[in-house]
Amino acid sequence: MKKLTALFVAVALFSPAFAQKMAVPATSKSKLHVVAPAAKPLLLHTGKPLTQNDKRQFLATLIKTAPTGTRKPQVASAPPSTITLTPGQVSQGNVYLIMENPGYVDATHSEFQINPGDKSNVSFVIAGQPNTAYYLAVKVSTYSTAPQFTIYTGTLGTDVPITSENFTGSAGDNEFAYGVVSNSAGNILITIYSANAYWSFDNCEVTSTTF
Amino acid sequence: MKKLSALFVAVALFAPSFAQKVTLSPGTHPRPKATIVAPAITPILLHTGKPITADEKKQLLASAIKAYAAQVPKAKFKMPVSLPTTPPLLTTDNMVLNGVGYGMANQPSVVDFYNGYIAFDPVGENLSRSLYLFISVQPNTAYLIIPKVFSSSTENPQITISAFLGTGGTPTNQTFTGSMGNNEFAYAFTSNSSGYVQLQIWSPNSFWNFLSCEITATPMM
Repeated sequence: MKKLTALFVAVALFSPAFAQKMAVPATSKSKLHVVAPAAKPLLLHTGKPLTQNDKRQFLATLIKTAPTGTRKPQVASAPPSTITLTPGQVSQGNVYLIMENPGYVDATHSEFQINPGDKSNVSFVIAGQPNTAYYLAVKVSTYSTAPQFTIYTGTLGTDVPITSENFTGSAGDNEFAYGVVSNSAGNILITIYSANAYWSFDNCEVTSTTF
Repeated sequence: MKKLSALFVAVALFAPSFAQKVTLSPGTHPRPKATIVAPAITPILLHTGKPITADEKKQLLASAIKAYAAQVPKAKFKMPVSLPTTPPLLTTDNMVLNGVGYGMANQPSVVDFYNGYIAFDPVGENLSRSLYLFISVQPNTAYLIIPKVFSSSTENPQITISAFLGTGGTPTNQTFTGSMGNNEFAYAFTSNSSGYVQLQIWSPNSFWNFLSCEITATPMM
């Protein structure tokens, strides 16, 4: 294991790509301040499109995961607000997309194609607010028959630990729900990859509700 | 040296994306084909090392129109050319401009809609690792493209732009050497048909980011 670690450290030192990729243009807004969710995120994959009832129940369960002390007895203090990200609408409100090593990015044909492996992924950056639950209904598609998807929060090399969930989808369209609660202001980073399948990001509904 | 080679072989084995990036991956959606047409002239590249001025833009467009006029001596052309004050702008979070054109990134390393850039590694042996621009064209029209890119390489970063001339056509690769940081350049051509002109931008030696691209269409007659 030590040898493997040394191997990757050596590659990081030898390969300028590791350093150069991190360079961002002078026009960049700011470095992401990533925070951890307040509780373990939830994943729901039924193998079918999510129903309104699935979504309502998921959101209610999600809010119950908020640590005691930050949660009030009421479920929601305001009606949930929903935005939808698509390949043609890559940022909205306080939610942005970031992709690492996609196969190709073709907004005009509404296709963001992602390669297999954890190095090729789609991330959602949510500018989180205290006492707020964020629920993502993500639609992806693939030709693979048993695509394995991993969705995680956190970032490597920071004090925000990686918390990951997995599910096995099917060929064609796949929809799943993922939820996090936030008890502080900061960016929540949610990343999706498939270990074994070429896949496309189709869209993502992001619903937020304060509690 | 052997140890270094072994190191990279080991990494290729441990990191599947290293191996996968060198091949074009299959699509997951059916994609309608755009009608690709060739420019009517060999496109003209201008890189001054500074932001392109309005005067330089007009002169470059005029040069493109003159090059086209030489092919059709009997036709009458509008001169001098006028330019819109705010031309349509393709950006990373708006890669589709209806009726103007669209962009597509093939095998970028990072697409960051938060900071507004698409990053690419040097093209290396993977010649398709590029930004593609599809410019919607009409007959008797001149086009001026002003891409803005960012290079993170300190040593002579090169940027190449090429127009697709059809299967069997000789590529019109044109390369300039920029500098670390923001680089702006201009590319002008004319069209005598309807469809899309396909441009490809890559760097042979530099890590670079696409930031934006102005697209101006000017009727020549």
